[in-house]
Amino acid sequence: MNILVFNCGSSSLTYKIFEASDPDNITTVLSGKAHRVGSTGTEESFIVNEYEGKTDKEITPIENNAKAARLALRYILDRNIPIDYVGHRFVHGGTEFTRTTLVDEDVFKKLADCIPLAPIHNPVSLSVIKESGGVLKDTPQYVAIDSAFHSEIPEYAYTYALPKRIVEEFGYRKYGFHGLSYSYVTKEASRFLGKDLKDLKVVACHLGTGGASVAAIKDGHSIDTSMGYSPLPGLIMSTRCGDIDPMLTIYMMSKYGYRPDDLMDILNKESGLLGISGTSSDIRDILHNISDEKPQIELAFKMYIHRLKKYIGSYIAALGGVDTFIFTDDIGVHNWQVREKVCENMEWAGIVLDEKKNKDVTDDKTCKIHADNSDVQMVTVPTEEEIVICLEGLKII
Amino acid sequence: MIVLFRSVPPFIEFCKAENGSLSIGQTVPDREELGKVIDGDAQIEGIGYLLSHGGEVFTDTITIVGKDTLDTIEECIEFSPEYNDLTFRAAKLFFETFPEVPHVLFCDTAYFSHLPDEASAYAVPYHLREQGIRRYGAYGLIHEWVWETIKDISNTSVNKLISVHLGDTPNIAAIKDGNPIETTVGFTSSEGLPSSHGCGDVDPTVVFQLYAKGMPFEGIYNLLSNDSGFTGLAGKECSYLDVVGDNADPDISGVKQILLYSIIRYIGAFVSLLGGVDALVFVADDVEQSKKFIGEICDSFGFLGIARESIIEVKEPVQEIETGNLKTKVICMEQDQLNIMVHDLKKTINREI
Repeated sequence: MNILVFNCGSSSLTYKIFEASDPDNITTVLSGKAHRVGSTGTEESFIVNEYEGKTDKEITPIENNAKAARLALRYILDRNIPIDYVGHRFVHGGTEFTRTTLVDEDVFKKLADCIPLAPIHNPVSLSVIKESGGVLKDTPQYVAIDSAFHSEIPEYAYTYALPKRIVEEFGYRKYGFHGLSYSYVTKEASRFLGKDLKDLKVVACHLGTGGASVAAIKDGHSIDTSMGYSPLPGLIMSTRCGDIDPMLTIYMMSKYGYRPDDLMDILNKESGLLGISGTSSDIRDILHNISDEKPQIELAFKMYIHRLKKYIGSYIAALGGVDTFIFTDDIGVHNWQVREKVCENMEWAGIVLDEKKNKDVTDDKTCKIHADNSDVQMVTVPTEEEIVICLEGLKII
Repeated sequence: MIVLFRSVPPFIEFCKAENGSLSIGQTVPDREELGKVIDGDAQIEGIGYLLSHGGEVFTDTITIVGKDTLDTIEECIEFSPEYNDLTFRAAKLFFETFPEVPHVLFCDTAYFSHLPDEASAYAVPYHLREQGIRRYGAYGLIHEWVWETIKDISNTSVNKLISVHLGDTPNIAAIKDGNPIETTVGFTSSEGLPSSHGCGDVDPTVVFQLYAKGMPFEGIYNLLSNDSGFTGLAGKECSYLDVVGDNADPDISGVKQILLYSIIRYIGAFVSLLGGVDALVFVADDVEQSKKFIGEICDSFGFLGIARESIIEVKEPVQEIETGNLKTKVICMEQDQLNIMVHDLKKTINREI
């Protein structure tokens, strides 16, 4: 049985086909990724497919994820690869969707009702579900929910200090995201380090080209994470502002007359690295262009690191110390400069990076990056959300 | 006699200091009622006002008030309408009534006006940052005093200090070599830790959703700044001491858990930014009733060698403290803005004369 998995990031689309008849025997048939989807950076967007030992790269404008899905599906159909199920990562299903669900017309409508919960991600996933539903008619689709991994966060950590009646009526609380990724990377790190999940106090940084978050994981369970009710708060991301005084939004709307929809767009799509630097939403461009003449670009990098260090420290405290540190996703695995800067002056927590190992990381496997005298074991783990989505599918098929 | 004013919306609190004793009262911001606070025949040495939020204008904690200063205070009202408006009214009235007396403005955000850009900026577009959208911090008087006091009485050098201010609006500052490098307070003191009525950190998406559900801006503003925090969580009026004090209500132990956890997280965050911590200082209006809570906070930092047994209490008059070879000193001390204002006002007046 072949399962096609779509994983929408906010600036990329990863997709894989797995031959997966049972959970212990999964092989990858095809893997592909559309890069810099809708990016405002300086480099062009492109799509890469790996199939039967061959790698095809096509540089082409990719305005949005629906277009990326169309390119992917065309590649798959051209090669007559059969597809039995299509699985999607769905970022935020609110209280309505907390587990993997098959998508029918009714479910699709209810998923669409969840758009305001994750205004960047949910519409993008829905557009890909629609696209693949149109192309692969009659092939069943399902969604795997990204916040499920965080469902065990204790009440004192997920509660906002809002009036009880408001919380009860509207369900405002921290949900957290990147759960599929955290679930995979903690298991992989424990396997790689030869340690039982139950013995680990983990701080994991999922640093993507679009969204980014940090999670504190104890005994294999998430105890806190930096995103919130929506994927807006927490770290500084490519175009999302991360943490901001909630009162500020009211001030800007009432004093400067911003319309709520416009302001929400500014905070979600024009802020973060793009908003600070004024030039690029991509940390790689930012690092490349740092110079004395461009203080805003340097500020973007400094703020990115500053916010990340804050969260790492706060989760080390929440865990009562850390023994395992994981960097994952595109920036987390590919960007040694970010890791080096983040780990500066972290001896207080027992964190000592090995500068050479950190620079020698490869993106095809889990790599150890801590120095011999580090109390904390540190690894980079290329995330495999797609495998988790595939496994989630097998549970309900 | 010295007279001090600070806003406690909807009232103005006044404090008269004479011959070493303080008397404190409250009045409504009405011109006539306010006017009664100072007797026309009284021998006034100086009058001080606490400005909660000085925007980008007041970058010194202490300003001698002149005519222009009043205009500047008025411009700052928008940053903290409830508090600053009251301060402005008091300052204007008494500056005009007692023109021959020195008037001193204490700005509670000034200490944080030189926060590094990476701490003061929000990750929003430049055109917004240009309009004064930034993190201002607050309670600078207390945190600056903590630093000045600790560096003088410590037997070993203190470079990295975390100052935890406990009370109805709890907040924390990270200070390196005398300069604040972070604070829990943002554009307003709603950001950061939850307070007796304020929400603390909340996903801003919630604001947009409440608006979409038909709540007007003013309603959301009141909800987040007046109906939230300990009071909102408890479902009834609730102060800091109701949450952590000796007679804390056991029914709301969940509220204490939330406050405790937020404080632990922020201390961890600031240790990380400082790259370690030499002194962890707890300062409160009421240290006695905070001790148990401070102990609980310390329990979480066993991994840094911090223990509740090693907490040192510093009392007036402060004396040098001996901490042996502990990596991190843990200190608790009592202090209140008014005491600091009395002390600094006298110093300022004497210098002026």
